[in-house]
Amino acid sequence: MRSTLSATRRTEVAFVLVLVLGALTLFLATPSLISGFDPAKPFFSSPGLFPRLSLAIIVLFGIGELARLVRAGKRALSDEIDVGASRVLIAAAGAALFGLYILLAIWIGYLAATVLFVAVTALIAGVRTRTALSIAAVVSGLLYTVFVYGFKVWFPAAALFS
Amino acid sequence: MDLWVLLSILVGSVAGIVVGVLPGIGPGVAIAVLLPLTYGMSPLAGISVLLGIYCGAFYGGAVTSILIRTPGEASSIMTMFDGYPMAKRGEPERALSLAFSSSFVGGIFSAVALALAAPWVARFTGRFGAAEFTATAALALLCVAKAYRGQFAAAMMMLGIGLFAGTVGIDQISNEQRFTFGHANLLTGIPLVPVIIGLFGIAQALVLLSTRHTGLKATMPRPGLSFRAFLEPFHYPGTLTKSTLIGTVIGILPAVGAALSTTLSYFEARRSSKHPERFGQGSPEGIIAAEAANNSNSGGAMGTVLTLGIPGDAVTAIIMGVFIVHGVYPGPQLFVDKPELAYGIFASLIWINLAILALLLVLTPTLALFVRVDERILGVVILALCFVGAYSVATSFYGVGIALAAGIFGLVCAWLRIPVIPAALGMVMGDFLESSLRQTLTISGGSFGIFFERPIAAVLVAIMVVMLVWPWLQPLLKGLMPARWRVGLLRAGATNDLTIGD
Repeated sequence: MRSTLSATRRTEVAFVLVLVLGALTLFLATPSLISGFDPAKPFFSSPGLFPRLSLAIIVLFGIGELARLVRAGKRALSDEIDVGASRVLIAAAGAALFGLYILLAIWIGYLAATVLFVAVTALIAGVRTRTALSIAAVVSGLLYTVFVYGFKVWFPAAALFS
Repeated sequence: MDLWVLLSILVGSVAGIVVGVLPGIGPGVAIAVLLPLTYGMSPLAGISVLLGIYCGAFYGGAVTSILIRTPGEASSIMTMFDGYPMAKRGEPERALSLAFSSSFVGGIFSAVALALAAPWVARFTGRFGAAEFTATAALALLCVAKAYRGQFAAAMMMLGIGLFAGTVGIDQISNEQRFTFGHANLLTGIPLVPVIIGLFGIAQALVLLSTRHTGLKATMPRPGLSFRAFLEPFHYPGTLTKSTLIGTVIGILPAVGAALSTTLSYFEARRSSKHPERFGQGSPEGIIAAEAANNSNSGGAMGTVLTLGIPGDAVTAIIMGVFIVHGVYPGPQLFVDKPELAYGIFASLIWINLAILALLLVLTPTLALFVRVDERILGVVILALCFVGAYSVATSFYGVGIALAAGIFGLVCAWLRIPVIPAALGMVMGDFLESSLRQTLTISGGSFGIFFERPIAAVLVAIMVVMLVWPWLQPLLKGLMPARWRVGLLRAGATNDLTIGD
């Protein structure tokens, strides 16, 4: 690998490498990861045929992508989500808060967790306190009304209080 | 038509128009987030909501393209070229009316064309055996990957990930557990809907949430519509007809997408126009060509799903997910088993276009308000919606965890410019492709020769081979052909540069 690779390109290489190695490991371990795998069975009736075919596609084209990245070939101009103006730390905090939201919904119940999640996430994103609190109240109330009363979605009682 | 279906059409159409105008979110995100809402509905009502969003976004995207030079969708870029100059010179009503009227003609034509052609296509594909279905599905997936020029290897890799993810759980044929690692939750496989909510909804919401807020927002004029301009597209029957046909035909092809059809249609209209010099300066023909082709894509794209059971893009893949959730499998058999559903979808498409047009007459002046929504607030609201959506799939926090994992994966892929749509399509198509392939190989006793013995399968395989070797074949052909032909080939290559993500 050339030392001239940019930080982004190095991250891309590392990410693709992880995917390729993971797929290769699963490919080799397929017989032990499928219950009742019978190597004597004809390949076309084996439950391992399609997973192995899929994993082989990941490995082969992953290697192709790695070669392209290392050669620093033409960079594609298109992307599905425009991340140009996004900030990594805020997005990571948002993802972490979403994980916490799951735990909070179990501990303190869906409604209270939603109020907390929406308010804190909006504040972290830089929304003004009064706006964040208003949105938290409106969004939580609306979602609770629509899903719990309207669509009869059941949420477990708060584990902390029961 | 059922009252609930009509109500669904109305709700979906409003949501679609708003989504088309809102900054940063497309119909894919909206459909992914709202998908769980459709579970309690009948299949036709559920599909109508999603089709309303799909079609409404095409109309809504034209509003921001014309008024503030900001296309809501990639397919609205060509509308901007003539719509914005026309609005700027003081004719926003005319530009909007031209766009809506052309979109309406395109949408209605493609729905009617689909209704007339689909039964014939279904009758033809009804003769397909397992080998033909395997080859068709494989060709469709290859088309998706090929649409990512310069990212083909990455797209194929992601396709492999999607196909593999679809194999986790109990194998439907042998009943063996595959890659479950002893987890009871994985016995039923990785749930599709939370993955789609994560890849499209959560990933996009995290990006919106973390967007640097400048406090500056474009102010959009609040024009009405002009009845006279509504009839103007009919003064250009050639452009209107050609563009509608281009859009419908391109919509049928998997993965090619509306962006390419609007581009082809726009340049064809300019080539055949009496006043090509007016294009780019507010030509009505430019708006007609782009919008008629744009909206006529929906009928073609749904045709492929209904007659072959093969989605061509992320949005139709999610819509196909609704069919599967309701135990309905699209394909030629749909026209035999559930003709009321198949024809109901055609009728829905026509009603959706009528509803959107009526709604736009009322809503257009107020759409300006949606452009001013703060992306960060939008991001937080989408995240809260994704949570409840992923939870309600199986009334379990496991689904929310899967959605979060898929969201983080999608976000990392977005930062590294790795496409995720092939992964979603791979997951949707995996089951169908695997069962068809295993059935084919069981019939042939394990011989791949069956794909060359059956004429349709052989043609499809030949197309796949040509597509795969084309990068090596192209320079060879260029060397063999006369110089003036090479120019044509280069032009065709330039047109192909428009990809899904553009």
